[in-house]
Amino acid sequence: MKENVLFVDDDPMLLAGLKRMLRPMQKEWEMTFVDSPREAIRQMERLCFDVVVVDMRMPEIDGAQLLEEVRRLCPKSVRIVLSGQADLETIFRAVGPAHQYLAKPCDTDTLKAIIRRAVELRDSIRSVALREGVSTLCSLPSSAAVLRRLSAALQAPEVSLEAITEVVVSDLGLSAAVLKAVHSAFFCDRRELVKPADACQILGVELLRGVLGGVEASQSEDSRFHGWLDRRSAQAVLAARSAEQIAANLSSDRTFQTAAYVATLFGRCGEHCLTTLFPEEQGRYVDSSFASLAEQLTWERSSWGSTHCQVGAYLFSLWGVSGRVVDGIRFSEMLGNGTDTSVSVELINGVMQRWWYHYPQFFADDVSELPTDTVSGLSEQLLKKWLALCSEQLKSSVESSKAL
Amino acid sequence: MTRFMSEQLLQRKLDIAKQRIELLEKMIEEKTRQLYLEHVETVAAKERMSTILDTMQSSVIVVGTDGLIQGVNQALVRQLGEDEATLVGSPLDRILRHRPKGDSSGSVGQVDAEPLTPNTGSYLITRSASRIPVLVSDAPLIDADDNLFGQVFVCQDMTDYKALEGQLLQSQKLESVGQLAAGIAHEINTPIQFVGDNTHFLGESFGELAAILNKAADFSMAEEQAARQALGENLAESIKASDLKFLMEEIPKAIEQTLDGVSRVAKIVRAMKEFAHPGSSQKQGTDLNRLIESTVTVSTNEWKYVADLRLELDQTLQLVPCLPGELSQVILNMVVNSAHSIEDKFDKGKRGKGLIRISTRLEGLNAVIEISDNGNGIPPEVLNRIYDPFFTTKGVGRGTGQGLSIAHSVVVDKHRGSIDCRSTVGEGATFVIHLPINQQMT
Repeated sequence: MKENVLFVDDDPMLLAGLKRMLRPMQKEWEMTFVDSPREAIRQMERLCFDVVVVDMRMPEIDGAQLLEEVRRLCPKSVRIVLSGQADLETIFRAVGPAHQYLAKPCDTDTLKAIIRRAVELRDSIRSVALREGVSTLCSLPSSAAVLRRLSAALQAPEVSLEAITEVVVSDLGLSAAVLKAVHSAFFCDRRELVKPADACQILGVELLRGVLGGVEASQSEDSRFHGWLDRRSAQAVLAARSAEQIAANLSSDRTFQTAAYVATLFGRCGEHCLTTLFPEEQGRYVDSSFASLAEQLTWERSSWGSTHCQVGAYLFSLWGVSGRVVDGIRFSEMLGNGTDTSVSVELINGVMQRWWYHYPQFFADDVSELPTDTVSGLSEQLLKKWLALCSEQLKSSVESSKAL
Repeated sequence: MTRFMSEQLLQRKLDIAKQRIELLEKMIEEKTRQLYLEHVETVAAKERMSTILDTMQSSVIVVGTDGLIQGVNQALVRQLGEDEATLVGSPLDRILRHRPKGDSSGSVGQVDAEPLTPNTGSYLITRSASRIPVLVSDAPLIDADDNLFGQVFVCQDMTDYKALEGQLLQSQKLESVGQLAAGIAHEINTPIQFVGDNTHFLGESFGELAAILNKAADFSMAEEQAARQALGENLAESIKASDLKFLMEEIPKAIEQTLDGVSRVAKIVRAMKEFAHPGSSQKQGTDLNRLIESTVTVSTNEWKYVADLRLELDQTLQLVPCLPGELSQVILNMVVNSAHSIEDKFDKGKRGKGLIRISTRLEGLNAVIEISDNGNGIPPEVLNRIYDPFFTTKGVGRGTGQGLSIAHSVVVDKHRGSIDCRSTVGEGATFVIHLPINQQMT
């Protein structure tokens, strides 16, 4: 089924150029071109477009305002900004409602690839309601405690990038916000694959202030949920570090290592989405009522039609995150076959998801067995090495928290 | 007896006289001493005064009612490189050209009670005929009987200040360029986007057309009947599949719009170059119309969403001597002010668009530039403060209040022109700039 794509720009020649250039895509997309924001809203009221591409600088209603309208009228639309340049103030207003931000001039192939990728995973989330929900999320939630720490770091008399980075890196919500900002050309050239710490470096203090300003504390009043958010972040960071070590052990390719880190870090972010969209189910996650990952996945499928892995992958695909990471999250739910010489990001992620969240007891020193759902195809020796790397991470984190 | 009595009497009288003489001598001594001390005091005071006058950095000139110099201090001697002897007795205007506010004669007897603004253009003339810009304050000298017996001028060297002022102007200019940069980037990036898209389209279209042309060529060169038939069918199919009609319509449009886009970018870059150029400190004959056009181009993004801009430029206007770098800054400041005022009145374009009109014409010996808008206007109580440095009615971040003060300084002080403002609250404002076309090339 063809996707519906809407292009909005007040410069008619720009629209004409886009139309000509995108003509070959007519087989895949049903495209509409309008030169006024008001007309765009009229179109959106008539039909819910899959993707909306807007300019920022337009008379009367600018891109940011238009996207807020789009978000309201049609929450599941993928919202993309294609802009010449706008002042920082306007860009900050776009950071929330826009999923992605492209800078003009944007070359043909990039534009096509981004629109394609944005709709690629549409069908992986069968429930329209769920898709709408995920698409409306501007960010992942953070606990109130984390936001207090962030606020303190931002308002310190001697603001330091290091202090802010430390808070960001320790929390999934903040890490997700900076990754979203850097994966698009909001403030800089697009980066496909970056660790949160590096994203902070790229943005710098002033931009971080603006970007993180939009992150909201979880609306939940349940303090146990906030506690769970913090625990999840801590686990995720350890799992991600282990994944990076494991990847480094297998290959010196830095992209591979970074992909493993990021995919594992956000491997569970789908849970953050689901608990925000369906707060009545928060208890189930907070109380760790699932005996195994398999059980959790089965329950999620039966409740919502999709697993947290699919949900997380979908969110990140909306944000234009590298396909490697998106796939690394999406396919981590299946523990397929691998061999010692061909290990994928999703395989590492999948193993880390199972070990760190369900079998952390295996990281204790005196245990020499392997957890039950090992991967067929990987040698016991390799898995034991991985186990050792994980134990190391756990130990060094325990030590450093003792030192504090 | 009498003789003896007389002797005694005489002796007594002598004694009294001696006493009196002693007393008088004492008094004289005392007085002399006093006089001496006062003299010393007076000399010392005079020397202190002298030291003060000769140590102070500012130059002091005392002028008599005849306009001739009666006294000067060392600072002046140093500044001018002339001896006191040659200065005393000379007419004042040999060494000082001074125009108090509102008066161009600078003659003695004109008492100027108001402090002069720094840019009065007063200057001292040194022995080597070079000029030192100075800030002059002067006061009448009046004696105890209320008679005017002269005038004293104190001149402060403004050379450093002038240099700073020049820098301030340039940095204000660069600040404007910076503020405009975001808008200019947008004006450039949008055409570049569609230039790229169109060229991509043209490339693909050429591919399609080339394929068809090749088939047509093969077809036209085939001799054998069956081959001709096959090739002909093939050709017809290709034509059908490619939507030739669309290509024939769109290709010329794509080329035309691409060229348009390229010229849009070129125009903006050219305007930027002209605008940002610091220009010289000497006046040069300038095409005012072109200056206005390039300033308008450079600021397009500031006004195009909230107002229409109409130019009514007199094409017969000759070259006007001026400082183009500074004058373009003035025009820019006014256009941006108009845009802001319109933005406020029309609620950022939500309630329609305003109108900015810029016109040029010749009026007698002056070139006249008029900039008017239909924004909020300026209330009368604000009107006489608009040229004050750092005075602004705009919110934080929307201007530092220097625009009009710089405009005033550039037009009035540097170009000997005038700048007036008429305004009705709720209806808009009009600024009228007069620039003399006969500037001495100073």
